[in-house]
Amino acid sequence: MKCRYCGSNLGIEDEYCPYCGKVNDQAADHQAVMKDYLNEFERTKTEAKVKSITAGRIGRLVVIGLMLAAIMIMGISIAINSDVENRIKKEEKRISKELNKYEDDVTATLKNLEKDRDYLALSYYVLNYRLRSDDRYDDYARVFTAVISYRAVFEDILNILDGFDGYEDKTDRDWCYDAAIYISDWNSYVGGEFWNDSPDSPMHRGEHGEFLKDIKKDAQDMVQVYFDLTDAQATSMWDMDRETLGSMLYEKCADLYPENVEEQPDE
Amino acid sequence: MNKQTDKKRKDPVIIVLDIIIVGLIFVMIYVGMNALFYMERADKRSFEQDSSGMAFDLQEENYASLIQSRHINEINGNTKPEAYHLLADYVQAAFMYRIYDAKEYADRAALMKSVMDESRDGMGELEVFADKVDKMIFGD
Repeated sequence: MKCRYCGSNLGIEDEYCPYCGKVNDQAADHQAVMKDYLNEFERTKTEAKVKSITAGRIGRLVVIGLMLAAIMIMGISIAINSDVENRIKKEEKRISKELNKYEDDVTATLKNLEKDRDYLALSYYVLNYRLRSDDRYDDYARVFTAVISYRAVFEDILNILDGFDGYEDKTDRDWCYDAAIYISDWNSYVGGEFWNDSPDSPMHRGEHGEFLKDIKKDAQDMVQVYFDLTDAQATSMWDMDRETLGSMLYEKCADLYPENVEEQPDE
Repeated sequence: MNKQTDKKRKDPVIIVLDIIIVGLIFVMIYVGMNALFYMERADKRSFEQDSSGMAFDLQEENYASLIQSRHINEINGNTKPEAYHLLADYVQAAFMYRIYDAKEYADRAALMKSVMDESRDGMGELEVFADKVDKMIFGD
C-alpha cells in the first residue's frame, strides 16, 4: 500500500509513514485487530504464567506434604520398633505362637537333647524358646537350671581363655568369681534345696535324675581340667562358699593363664 | 535481554519450596535408614546373628558369643554363615576335647577330634582362627 500523503510504500504493520510521519489510516483496522490479538495473547500468557506458578506451588506443597507424612510414618515405625519392651513382647508373642504350633516337635527335641547329654545345645534351645518360664515344661525346671549353670561356667572359662572382657570390662577375677557363684549355688538351685524339692519330685526322677547326675559330673570335670584342680578339690568345690571357691579358682587362673591376668587393669 | 531474564526468573516461593524438598530428601534418607534398621532388628530373634555379627564376635575374640549364635542360628534354620558355624563347632569341640582327653574318656575324645577335623576342612579362610583356638586351648 502507498501513503496517501507522500506516496511512499507502506507495510500493513506501519502505524505511521516512515517518510512523511503521517498516520497510516488504511491499516488502522488491521492494527486494531492486531492490538486486540496482542492484548489477548499477553493476557493469556499472564494467566498461564500465574496458573503455572500456582500449579508449581501446589505440586511442591503436595510433594512436601507426602514427604512429611512418610517421615512421620517412618518415625512412628522407629518409635515402635526401637522400644525394647515392645520388641520383647512381640518376640514373646511370636515364640509363644511357634511353641503352640510345634509343641510336639519341641518336646521331642528336648527329650533328644537331654538323652544325648548335649548340655550346651539344650541350654541354647531353652534360651531360644524361653522354655524356662513355660509352665508346660515344669518337670524340666531343674534340668534347665543345670544346663544354664553349665553354660555359664563354660562361658566364664572360655572368656578367661580368649581374654574377652565382656561389655562391662570384666577381669579374669570376675569370670572366676562368676563361675564360683554357679558352682556353689548348684546344690541349692539345681539340687532343689532352695526350692524344697521332694526327693521323688518328677524334676529329679527317671531320665531327669540321671541327666542331673551326669551334668554335675561333667561340669566338675570341666572345672577340674581348666583350673587344674586335684580330685579332692574338684569333688569338694560343690560345698564351698562363693568367696572361698572364687578365691581358689582365681589363684589357679593366675598361675595357669598369667598372660590374661597381667592385662587386667585392676590387678 | 530483560525480557529473557524475566522469563527465566523463578518464583521465590517455588525456590524456597524446592530447597525444603531437597532438605526433606536428606531427612527421609536418614530417617528411612533408621526405620529399616529397626524394622530388620525387630523381626530378628534376639540372639540370632548373620555373618557380619559373627565376624564382629570373632574380631572381639568373643568365642562364647560365636558358639551361642551358632546354636541359635541352627535352631532357627539359619545356615548361611556356614564357615563361622564350622569355626564355632571347632571351638566347642576343641574345648570339650581337652576335658575328655585329660580325663581319658577315649570315645568322647575321639568324637570331638572327628568334629574338629571335619570342621577344619570346611571353614576355608577362617582356618587361621582354628590355629589360634588350638593355641588358646592346648597351649603352644
